[in-house]
Amino acid sequence: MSEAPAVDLDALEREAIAAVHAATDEAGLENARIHYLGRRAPLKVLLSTVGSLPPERRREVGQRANAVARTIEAALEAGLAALRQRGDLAGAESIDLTFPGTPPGRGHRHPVHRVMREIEEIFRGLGYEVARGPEVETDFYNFEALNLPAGHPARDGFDSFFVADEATLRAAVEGQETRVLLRTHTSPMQIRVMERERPPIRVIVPGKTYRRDSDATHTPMFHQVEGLLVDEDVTLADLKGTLEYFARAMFGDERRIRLRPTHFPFTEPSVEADVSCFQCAGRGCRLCGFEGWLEMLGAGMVHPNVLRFGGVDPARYRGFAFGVGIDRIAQLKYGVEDMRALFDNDVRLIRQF
Amino acid sequence: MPIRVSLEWLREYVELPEDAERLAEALTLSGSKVDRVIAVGQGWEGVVVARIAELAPVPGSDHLLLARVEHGGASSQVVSGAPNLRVGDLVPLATVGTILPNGMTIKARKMLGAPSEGMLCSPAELGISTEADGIMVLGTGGPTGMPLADLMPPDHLLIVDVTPNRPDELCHLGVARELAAVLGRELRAPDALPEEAGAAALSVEIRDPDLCARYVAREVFGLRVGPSPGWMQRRLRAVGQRPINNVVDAANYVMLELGQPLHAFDRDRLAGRAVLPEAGVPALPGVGAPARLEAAPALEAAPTLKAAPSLIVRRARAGESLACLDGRTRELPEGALLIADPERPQAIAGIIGGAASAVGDATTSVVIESANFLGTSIRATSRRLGLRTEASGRFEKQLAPALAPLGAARLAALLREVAGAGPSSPAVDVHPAPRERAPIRLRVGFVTGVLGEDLGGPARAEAEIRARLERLGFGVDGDAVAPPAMGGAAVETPPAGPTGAAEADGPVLTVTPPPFRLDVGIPEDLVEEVGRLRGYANLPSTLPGRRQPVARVLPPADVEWEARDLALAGGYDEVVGLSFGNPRDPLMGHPPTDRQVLLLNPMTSEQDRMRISLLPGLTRIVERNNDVGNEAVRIFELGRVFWPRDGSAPPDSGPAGASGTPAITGTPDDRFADRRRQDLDLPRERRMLGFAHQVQAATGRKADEQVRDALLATKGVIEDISRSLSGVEPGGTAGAGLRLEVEQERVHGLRPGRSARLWLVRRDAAGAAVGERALFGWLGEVHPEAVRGMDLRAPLVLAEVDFDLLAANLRLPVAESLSRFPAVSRDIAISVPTTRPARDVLRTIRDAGEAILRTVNLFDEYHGSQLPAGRKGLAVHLVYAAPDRTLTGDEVAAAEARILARLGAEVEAEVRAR
Repeated sequence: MSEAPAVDLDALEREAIAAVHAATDEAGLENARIHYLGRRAPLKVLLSTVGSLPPERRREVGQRANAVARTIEAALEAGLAALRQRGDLAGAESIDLTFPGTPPGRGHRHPVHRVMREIEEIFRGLGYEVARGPEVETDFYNFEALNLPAGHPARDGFDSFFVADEATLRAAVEGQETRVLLRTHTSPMQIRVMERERPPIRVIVPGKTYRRDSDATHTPMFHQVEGLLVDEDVTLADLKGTLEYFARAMFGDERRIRLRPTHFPFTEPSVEADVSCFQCAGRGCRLCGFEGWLEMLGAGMVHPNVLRFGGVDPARYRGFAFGVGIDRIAQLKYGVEDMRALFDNDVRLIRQF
Repeated sequence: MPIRVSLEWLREYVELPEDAERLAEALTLSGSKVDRVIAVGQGWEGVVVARIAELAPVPGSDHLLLARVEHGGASSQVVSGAPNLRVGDLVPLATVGTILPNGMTIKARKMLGAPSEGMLCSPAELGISTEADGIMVLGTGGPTGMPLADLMPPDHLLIVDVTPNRPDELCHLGVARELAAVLGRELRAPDALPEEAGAAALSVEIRDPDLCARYVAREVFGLRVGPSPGWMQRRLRAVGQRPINNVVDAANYVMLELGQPLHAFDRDRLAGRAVLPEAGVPALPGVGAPARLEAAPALEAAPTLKAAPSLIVRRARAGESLACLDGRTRELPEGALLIADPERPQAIAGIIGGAASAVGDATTSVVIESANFLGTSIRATSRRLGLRTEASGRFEKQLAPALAPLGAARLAALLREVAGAGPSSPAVDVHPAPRERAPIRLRVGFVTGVLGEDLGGPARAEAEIRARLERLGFGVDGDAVAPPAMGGAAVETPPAGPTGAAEADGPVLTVTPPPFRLDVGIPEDLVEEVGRLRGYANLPSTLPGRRQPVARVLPPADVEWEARDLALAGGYDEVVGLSFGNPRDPLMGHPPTDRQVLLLNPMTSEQDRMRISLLPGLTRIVERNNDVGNEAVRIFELGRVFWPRDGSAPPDSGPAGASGTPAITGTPDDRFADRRRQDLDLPRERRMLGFAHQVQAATGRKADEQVRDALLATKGVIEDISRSLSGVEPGGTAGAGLRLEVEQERVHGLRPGRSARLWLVRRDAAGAAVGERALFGWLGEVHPEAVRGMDLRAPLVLAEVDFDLLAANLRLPVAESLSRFPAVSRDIAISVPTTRPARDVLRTIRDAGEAILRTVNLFDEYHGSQLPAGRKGLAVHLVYAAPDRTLTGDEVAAAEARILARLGAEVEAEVRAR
């Protein structure tokens, strides 16, 4: 047995790392590997003769030599990876996949229609039909048949646009003259649907509505979805359940609703439905005015006079109806500060959807 | 209508728990929404009552004033910018060191060199209202220096938004009654019986009983006008009223207490019955119709006084006017209801009193008016005068006639207490046609049936219904065995549903609404009363469910969404424009027309009609986007346009006026056009699909290329939607079916040479048109002249098509069986004269009638130096296949040769390469 060669392991390590860094291609790296880690490399020779050392040094030299070998190995790996990466882009056919992805060039849905479609889908799932109906209406359908006879003070709150030109100023319903206006709500379709269809009725009516109003929360044109269900034995509890289902489908399963009694001429009893604030989960924040609740919609049991106007016998049938402001939901849900921005149609807003 | 109520005041009528927030919630959840709870007196340490002693301008400022204020024995200088500073007024002064409710700390400082030692506060700064545009004025007389809290003790105010059907609740007693019912407490109504003496001397005549259902008047003598007592001033101030004098304050107080607006005339300034026919004195000149004088009370009743006043309730005549309490003289609209004496108008009924008979410092006797007017009449007059008062706001919601005598009695009693008045005369109560209100028959089962909650079974339900209604003042007579057929004058009760037996519906109650509740008349109203007092928090949540006819469960596919999805996939952003039209906007497609749906009361002159085209709006949207730096805007809209119904649109004016064949017209909305509307003249509403596609480059050859691409991209998305929805194929496609055919021609507002009309044509297998074609829309680059004055950054392509034509002709795609044999494709390159439209080339290829030719794709057009002048190059991709065999090269070559020969013969084509 020959004496173990005297090797300066520290110097060897420095020399090997420098050689790895100096290599410019895979062949260079391979040469360095053979030179420093090959069968005849000084390190390997040292390791193969460690047994001949005095027992007290065997352990120390063996561990140190193995550590140096591992370091060189790691440097070779890293060098190879770096070379490969450089090499991929260097090739003539290489394509830089770190480049940003190309947008697919699709268009973006208007936020109001996004909400409208969502609402339609929720109610289609509950078996509701979708109807639309005219935006220019008669006073008869817009007010009178909804238990709002001429002179009713609640008409003032609707602030209607009236049609002016001679041809369409007045129309006649069953021989009675009636004024023509832009519908102030989607509720006239309650009557049109009941005139057309026999109960059981389940219908929603999404569409445009108009009132003379313009500020941060009002636009002269806005969108509503009307809901109408007419059947035997319909209850206020059914209305509550329907609205709760809607609120949870729309705003998240953890939402709760609250019914507040209120007054509408076309329903009795009437309620406003609030949904627990989806920003603060009901704890109170700026969005909900620190109340924990957001006003969502108005609803109620269809007034017997309205059923009669629709040709439905209130002695046999009952119904519930509700009206949702779509733009307000879009405003709340997507955090649009000014309602009017929805109809400015700045594509920077629309492209966020 | 929101009202302010004070908890301190409410406690006079009902015992209330301390927690104001909890009370607010209880009111909200029973139907009286509380918008805000205000803590009065919080953060008022250091705020004292001060009198403005002197005012001087601050040098160097146009609005700041230096006020010297006195408080107790002290005097301070304060700079204020408030617009309502007046020497002599009592105002709240926040002294140095005060921390106001909004967190502001008051420090001594100098403003423009003027020292300011404190701040005069607005109601908003004191945290009791949102009014911030002036100093809160506390009054004019009285001591100063004491804490503001002495004048306005700590209290809570609730802002209650009372629904319009409940004018009875626009007062403290009304809110107290609600709270008593919700909390199950006893209600203590104020004692309203005044001492009476003498006889009723004054006379009241209602000439227009349609506008005045009841008029109650009382005379009160021997009063002294002066400040009202502290307790009354404090309460009035607490709810935002400024004390004036004891008579006016007492009248306001009763209105805020009972909800009945009152007026007090200075009795000595009202004319009496000077004109007595018996005395043979002729009518006074200037008095219109002579007063009717039946049932005249004896004048001797008050012999020491001037003749008793005579009040007439009548409509205003043309040309009458009244000098009002507020110092303004108003022309009275003809037909407005007024209160007059025999000589002249003295008040506009329910709105404002006249100055001539106003209560002043010298007044010693008054006539109390407590009346009931027709709400719609008060509302109409109030709107025409542009004047809304606390009184008119209540009257227009239609108060109950039953309130009138209560108000008069209560005011008479209060005047004795606060103005030292003697006993009142007995009331003169004119009530021409008192209305009996029929009781309501209410089945217990109806209540539980509508609510969907059984309330613990019929017996417990009955007890609960009875208890809740009685607490609100309803009279309830139980009649458990009432026969179901009991009819008579009773208001109808819906009978049980077809499955419900009469006895299952439980007992029947006979319910009489309280006289002040005009809003309750049918059983449904009573269900609401019971339900809202119970609260809906514990109402079960259920989904309605019964066997449904299948037709209703499977709604038809909604093609609007399908069309939108396709346009989105085509890269167009969706916009929603306003449905209005601007008369100054350029029109594209349609020439201008007078026949439009005009609005009587538009918000602006730019929105004075309904739109007849989407394109002006889309162009404006592009312009607005350019303004904010958005370039190359690509947008679409699916929305309605509006045409007058009568006659037909101008011949050239577009889809709404097109007389298509029955096969390709129709408006889906007609589904809900009712039989009643047969004679209706409602406008025609058409759904249109509009596109605006702006290019990137502004000018030059590059722009021209991009405009071509944009035109064809827009056409492509229209073709795609038309095919997907209605099976419409491009013009020139072989076989029977609907075709989208393009006529390149001048179109209004679009650029000549770059515009076309689009038509839908039904063709049979031989290619012949079936019926008339229908105008579908137009496509083109916007004419620079049309948008002169608009700031568009780059050329714009527009297109608009009639979506209802597609919706009326929906067609499911039909799968064709696919050939198992390979197809052969060939490209041909030809040149044709520049003037030759591509359509002719495609038609010629189709007309060659090669059975094995499957598809033709014209994929390129080029101009350039390699081509002779006057010619352009076209590249066509042809695919050949047969369903039953593999084609041979010879077969294909022969077919192609025949096609090329025909192209040569018919469109002067020359082969360039293969």
